Amino acid sequence: MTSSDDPLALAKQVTAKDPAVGLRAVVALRQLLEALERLHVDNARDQGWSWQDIASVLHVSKQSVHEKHAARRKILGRED
Amino acid sequence: MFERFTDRARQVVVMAQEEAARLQHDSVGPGHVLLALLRIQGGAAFVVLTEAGIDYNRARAAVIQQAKPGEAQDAISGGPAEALAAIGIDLTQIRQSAEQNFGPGALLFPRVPFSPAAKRLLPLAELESVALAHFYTGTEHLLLALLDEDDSDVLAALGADQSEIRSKVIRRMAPWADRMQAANAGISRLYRALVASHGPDRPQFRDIMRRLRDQAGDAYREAARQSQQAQQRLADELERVLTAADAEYQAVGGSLPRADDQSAEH
Repeated sequence: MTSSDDPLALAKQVTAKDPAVGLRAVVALRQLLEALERLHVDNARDQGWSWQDIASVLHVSKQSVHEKHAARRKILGRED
Repeated sequence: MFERFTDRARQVVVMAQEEAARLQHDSVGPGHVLLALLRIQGGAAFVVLTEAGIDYNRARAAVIQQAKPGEAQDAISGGPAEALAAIGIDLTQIRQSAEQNFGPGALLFPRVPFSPAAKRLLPLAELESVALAHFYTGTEHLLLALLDEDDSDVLAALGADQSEIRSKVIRRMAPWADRMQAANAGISRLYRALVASHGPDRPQFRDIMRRLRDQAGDAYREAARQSQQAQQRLADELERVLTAADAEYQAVGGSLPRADDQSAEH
């Protein structure tokens, strides 16, 4: 269906010098990182972790993790 | 905008994104909102839509059919998934392991944006709620908004009688008069059945009917009285909150703290 199904084509892409390929991957990685962070912060909160617990593991301040996730969780009704 | 949204209405917004993501559509349209409404089984919208003969599978087929060419994207060939594949990261595998642990659609990635029509649904639902003097925005208001939105051709494709759905939703939200009518109709049916099966009209039949009517009428008036009292209590309470807020406002010298200023708790 796509080039990613074809190992040869994929190998060519990985080694491509085209900056666009690498830069696009960086952007996609950043977005994936955010999605994974939401997923795992949600899981941690649902399992009763405090914001401080989560912040420690993420190596960020309690305030920043709260600011980033609390409002969204409230909208979903998953946070009081 | 979401403060007045009920939990179920909020879930609809998120689930609509999941629906679009699963169908690999590149935007969330009114059709995906409809699918989400059909997944919230306890919601008022779900009940009305089901009564109108619209179920999830039919709606899903219609949404797929209505998807404009170019709307259905190949999730692997375009966008972030391919960009990641280019550096050897298999998004499918990440998604699979996330879904194994957290259920289908757990990893909302890539994010699917709301189409302009779907975006309009949210303030429209709010307007429907305000127009009906409700204190919340629920799935029923989202459904009313969906009926308003010209783009909701999925409902038309399903052969749904949109004006009937609308009046059903409204009736459901003001249920007392409607149920009172149903009770009276039931009592009349009972009376006719008694006469039909036990021969000519007897005074007892009329007595039974009168007694049941009285009971229903008493219950109706009591419910109306309690509902009025509840509304009055709510109005009083809101008035008290407003007065308190005003006092707070003056106490801090006219500079109210912003709602998002609360420091991180827990």
